[in-house]
Amino acid sequence: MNRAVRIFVFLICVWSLIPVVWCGLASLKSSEELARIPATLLPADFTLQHYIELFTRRPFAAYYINSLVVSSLSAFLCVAAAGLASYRLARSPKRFRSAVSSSLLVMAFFPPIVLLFPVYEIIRMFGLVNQPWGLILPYAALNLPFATWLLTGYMELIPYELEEAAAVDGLGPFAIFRRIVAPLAMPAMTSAFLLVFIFSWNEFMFALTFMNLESARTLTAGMATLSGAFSQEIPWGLLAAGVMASTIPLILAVFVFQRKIVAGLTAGGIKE
Amino acid sequence: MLWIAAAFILSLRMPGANPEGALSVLMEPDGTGTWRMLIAQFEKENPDIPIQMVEGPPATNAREDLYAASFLSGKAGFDIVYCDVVWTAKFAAAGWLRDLTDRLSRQDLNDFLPQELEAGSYKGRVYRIPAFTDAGMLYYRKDLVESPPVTFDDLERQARQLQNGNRWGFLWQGKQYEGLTTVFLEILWGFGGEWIDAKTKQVYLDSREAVKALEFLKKTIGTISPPAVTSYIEEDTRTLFQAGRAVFLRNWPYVWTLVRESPVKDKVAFVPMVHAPEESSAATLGGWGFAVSETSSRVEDAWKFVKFITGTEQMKVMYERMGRIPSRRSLVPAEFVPIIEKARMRPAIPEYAQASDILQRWVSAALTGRPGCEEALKKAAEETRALLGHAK
Amino acid sequence: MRKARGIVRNLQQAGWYLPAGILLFLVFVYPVLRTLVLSFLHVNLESGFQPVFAGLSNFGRLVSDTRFYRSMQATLVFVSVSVLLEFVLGLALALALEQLKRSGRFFRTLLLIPWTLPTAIIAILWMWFFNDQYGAVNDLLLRLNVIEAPVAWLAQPRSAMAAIILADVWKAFPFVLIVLVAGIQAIPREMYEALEIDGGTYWHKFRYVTLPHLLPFIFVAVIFRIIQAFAVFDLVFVLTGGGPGGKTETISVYSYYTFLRYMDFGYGSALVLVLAGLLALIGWTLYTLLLRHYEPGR
Repeated sequence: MNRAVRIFVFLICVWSLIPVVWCGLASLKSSEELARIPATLLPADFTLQHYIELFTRRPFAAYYINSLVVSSLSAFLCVAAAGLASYRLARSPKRFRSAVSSSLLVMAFFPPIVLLFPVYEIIRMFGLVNQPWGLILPYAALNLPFATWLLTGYMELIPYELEEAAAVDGLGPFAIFRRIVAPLAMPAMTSAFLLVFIFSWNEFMFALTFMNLESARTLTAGMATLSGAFSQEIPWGLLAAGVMASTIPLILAVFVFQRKIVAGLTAGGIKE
Repeated sequence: MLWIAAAFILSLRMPGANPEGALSVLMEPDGTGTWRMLIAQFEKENPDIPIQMVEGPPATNAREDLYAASFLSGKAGFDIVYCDVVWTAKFAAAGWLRDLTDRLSRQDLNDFLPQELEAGSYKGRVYRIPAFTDAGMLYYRKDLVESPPVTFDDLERQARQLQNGNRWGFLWQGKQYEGLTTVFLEILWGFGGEWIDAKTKQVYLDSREAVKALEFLKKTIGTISPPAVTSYIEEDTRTLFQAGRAVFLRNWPYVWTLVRESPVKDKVAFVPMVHAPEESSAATLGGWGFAVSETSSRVEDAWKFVKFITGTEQMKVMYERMGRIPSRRSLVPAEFVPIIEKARMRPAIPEYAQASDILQRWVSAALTGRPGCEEALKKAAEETRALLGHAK
Repeated sequence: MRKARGIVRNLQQAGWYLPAGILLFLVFVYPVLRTLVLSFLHVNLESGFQPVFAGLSNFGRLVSDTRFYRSMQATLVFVSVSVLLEFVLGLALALALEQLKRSGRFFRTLLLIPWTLPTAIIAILWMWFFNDQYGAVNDLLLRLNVIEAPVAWLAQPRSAMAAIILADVWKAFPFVLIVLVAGIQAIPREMYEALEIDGGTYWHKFRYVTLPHLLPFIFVAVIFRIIQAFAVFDLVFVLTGGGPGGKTETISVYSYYTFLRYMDFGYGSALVLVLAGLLALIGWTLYTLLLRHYEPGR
């Protein structure tokens, strides 16, 4: 029984990882080797050519910086706004709280395509097309319902007595939040930050539509418009290198922060 | 916290601005470096007008969407538009292109191929200046084919006779994309059919000729064309043909340059597309040109560039280095004249993209699946009529 | 005086919600209202992007739009098959990992990787795997002698849909897995021990302890997956663009084309409103049917 289970788990793990491993190996092969049929498994003539090309022929460094900036700031903004709101929410009457969380649930379920065009109009109105803030604000807002939901669940567990004691010591409401509540809620806020960061890093539709200059693109949109040397030929090596370069930070994040990510996923709210 | 602060500072820089006020244009991937060379030449002559060329994705509809998204932003994302024939009506109707009619000299008006000029016009005004023209044609292996086919039946018979385990008879582009529309149109016109009348907005897709055309294409799959032909685009078919794996190939003029550097270099010739007896052959008109964005703040500079890049000398370079057929009558190489003469425009209507999508979807559906040719075309005709009727 | 202080306190209260409120207003409330307005207007190429009152005609057009029905059909096929597979796989693996105790956690970390990767980028990878000439899938199947000649996976409607579903299952089943693992871990050990004393088999334990405790978690995971799968865009857009024959075009992809390719903002708004309404209906039905009786999530 146990052996069968092990084999099953092992096979699924292989299936889950093989595309990434294959891609990683392919990114190190020369273009000639990639066109070879049948394909080779391990790179026969090892080369970093595709990675070099990625950063020299294409503005890949710009994509990277844009993705980092947009994801960090939207995660920060989202968690900050959600933190404030969820703290008050956790201290509100139950009826108000459940009314708010059901409307948050509705928003979290909203298909992003519904919002695409009107949000574009707003971004355009504020002159934020091709600006990082043109993505930061929508991303922070899109993930806000989920983050608020997650944080409210956690804040409810923080004992009220601590705040009362702090109020007796003469701290104002915001100081209580900043000095007492926020540090206590840090584990949940970290989880929320990580998840929002990942969602923002991975978002495609808004990024493709709102950022139409090469220098303003994020990784997902940049990769989708990546093209090869010749008009119609698909540059597999370059694409493989691009896939690896843009996903390695996430893979590392999984190993370093897996507990936090899992905690965020399984705690108050659950969202992909 | 430091991290967030750094990100915040970075977020305030403005990646949106063009370097030193360069004019920007979204182009195809510049594999041969020809565009870069021409631009460098222009910048040398006009040091005060730097050009920023953005190499876009190879799929043309992806570039169309990128242009559209940028125009929708209301600001001049791109000053110059590298524009496909079929975008002109849509972009002009949307008010995104500047009317260039009065800027053209009489000499230019007479020199440009009339169908290219017409394809660059909308409601009688010229918005797009043609840079090179394109027309579908039939390549064949002259070492195998004794006399090139004239009718559809010739093509089918010769393909059957000459194909073997190692090579297919006939290659064409069958993936669901604009290329399928161009292939289907050539067959449709070759049978004497019609798609849409741009003026009256009449739709003829459910005609007998259209059914014959689609049946012809469907019959080739698995008999004289590989089953995977319904996933092929230009380059898939060119690669196979160059490797000696096919007898006939429907493709564009650019193949001519490339095929002469391939293993089958001395064994290839071309003729106009085949047609039904008593009808005449037709080629789908392609080609690209340049237009000036309505929102550009530097129209005069942009026009200077458009005028330069569509000039005689530049067209010669495009032909020599990329095999693109010049869109000036005086420059069309003699061997291509018979092809170019057969070229016909796709309907110049603002709803072109949607109409073509309807056609592609139904043709592709009939080629890859269950709906019969007649049924698919009937549905396509209905949808197209609904689309064009709605617009009113 | 007291009244003024009350107002100040109310303002202070509101301050806590202000940043979140502004964001939600800009990105949810206003856009939804705007979409609602647009759906009653003609704003398209023909109208020169000037709003013309359309009444219900956008919705009328939708009723007779065969492409809308087809995209709905494709979406439904995609949602039902992929969520079902994700659920089965996720549950089976959650149970398996539970058996493995310690090493189970390590595998769970590994399995988290596909879930965190960007769909739009991974779709490029799948496009490569399913390529008929250079694809790894054909290469593998040819070597195993499962197929005789390369298959053009993305060229046939059925296999293209299968490819999309496979890619989605690959990415999304870890989510189901993680939720269910959390659910299993929350089950008190004593419940199993009680059954063991009675000599219960594995099946008994699963049927009478695991499954009942797991149900709320299953519902949460499945509802979330259904809602998200309904809005699928990245995967289809990059992998097939909706082809061949429009057979893999989902409703989100159709709406995207209507906005960005056809520039028909009125009709596009009607389309997305119907999508949103449908999702709200599905979400609400599932929620009331399944989750009401359970404390969700935690």
